[in-house]
Amino acid sequence: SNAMFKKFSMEVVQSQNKTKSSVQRAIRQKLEEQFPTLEGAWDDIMPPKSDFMAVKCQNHITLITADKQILFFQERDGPYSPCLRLLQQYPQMLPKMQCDIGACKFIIGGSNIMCPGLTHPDACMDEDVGVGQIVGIYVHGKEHPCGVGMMKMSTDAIRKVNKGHGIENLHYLGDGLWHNHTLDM
Amino acid sequence: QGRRARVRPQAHHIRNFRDCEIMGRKKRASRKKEQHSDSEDEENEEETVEENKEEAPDEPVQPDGDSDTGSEESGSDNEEDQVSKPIGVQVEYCPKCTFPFEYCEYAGMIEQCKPGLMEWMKRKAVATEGEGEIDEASLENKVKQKKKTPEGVEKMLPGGKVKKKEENMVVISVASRQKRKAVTSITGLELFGVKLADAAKDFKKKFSCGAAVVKTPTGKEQIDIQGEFRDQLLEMWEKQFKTIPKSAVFVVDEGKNKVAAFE
Repeated sequence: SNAMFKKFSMEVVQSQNKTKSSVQRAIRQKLEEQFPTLEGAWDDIMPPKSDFMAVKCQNHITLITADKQILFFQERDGPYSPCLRLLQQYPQMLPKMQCDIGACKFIIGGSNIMCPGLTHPDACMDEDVGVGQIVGIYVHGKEHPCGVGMMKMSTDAIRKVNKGHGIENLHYLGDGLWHNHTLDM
Repeated sequence: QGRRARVRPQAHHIRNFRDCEIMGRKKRASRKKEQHSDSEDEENEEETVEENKEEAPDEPVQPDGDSDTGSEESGSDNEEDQVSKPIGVQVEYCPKCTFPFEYCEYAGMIEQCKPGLMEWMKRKAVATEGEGEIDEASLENKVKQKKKTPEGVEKMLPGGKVKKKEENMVVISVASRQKRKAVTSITGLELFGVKLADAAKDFKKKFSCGAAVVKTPTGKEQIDIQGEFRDQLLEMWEKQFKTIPKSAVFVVDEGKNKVAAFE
């Protein structure tokens, strides 16, 4: 949902218990499945001896943290999305959806991405993906992603219909989660 | 710790320390084979391999079976496996606004970011060979653009059109609902950076009444407070809205005229 991390602070956190190692393993496996391009880097991202925690927050949000750094978030039982800082470190982990530069101001304000922003001549949709896929939101002319989103329409539908919300903006530069990315906020 | 020291940073086919062990021992064993007789070396090799397996639980791997995911598979095919481990990109973040430097212009504090940003742009220009002066010019443009927006509140629409400048005024008016009850409306607070939802909450608390953020037909938003609080608002103005100059506040009197609220 939108405004997921607009306000994000310790108040939102409901429980912080060290996760059982069986649960840890299950989560790591799920992450490895969801992000195959990160194979080999997992020990850097989540070192085996790090303090791994699945933190529960309001609105059915779960945060995956290692050594107090928030790495992934998940709504209910949905797919995991990386924290924007992590995505900027490993851009290959998500498909790239590039908008025209005019959309940048709105993305950083938290708004969703409308189809015309993705069918603009400066825009580019790297891969063909379906609804519900987690993607990295990029902007023409900038090297790093400025948001993490979920496809509300498939890339095909976006090109054909060219109207309405194309990508839901889950997490963006300057939102609550961007500023409070460690657990001791 | 002595074992760890042997890891060579560029050996991408080595995934973990155990691989290193196996590689090292295999190489040493094969070198020995060339020099010495076979039988002795086979014994040695077997011993070392067994030793390795025993040592596995002691290695810095999660005790509850994380060794499943990486080490055993890679042990068998590590010499053929040439996939390089993805290395994290080192992003340079602005120390002032925390955004990557290329996004400083969107962080709303470009003046503070400027010195760091200039340096970063120079470093980049050096790396990409000579864009130097052009970059400075474009940076100045960005700074100028940002300066415009807060003052005149020019709304840039996506198509590139510019909405007409609106006067910066806060207007307080009282209308009546249901004969004896009144509604105090405040428009224009958002022009001064006040968050309407938070302001409405504060009014509710202070006046023990209902307050809501409402959209006007023009599309702007105003705060409606149930009751007549024109005077009380003016009294608490200084405490509540320090950032709004008194000269910008107007009150609608009986004659439907906007009169300056503070003398």
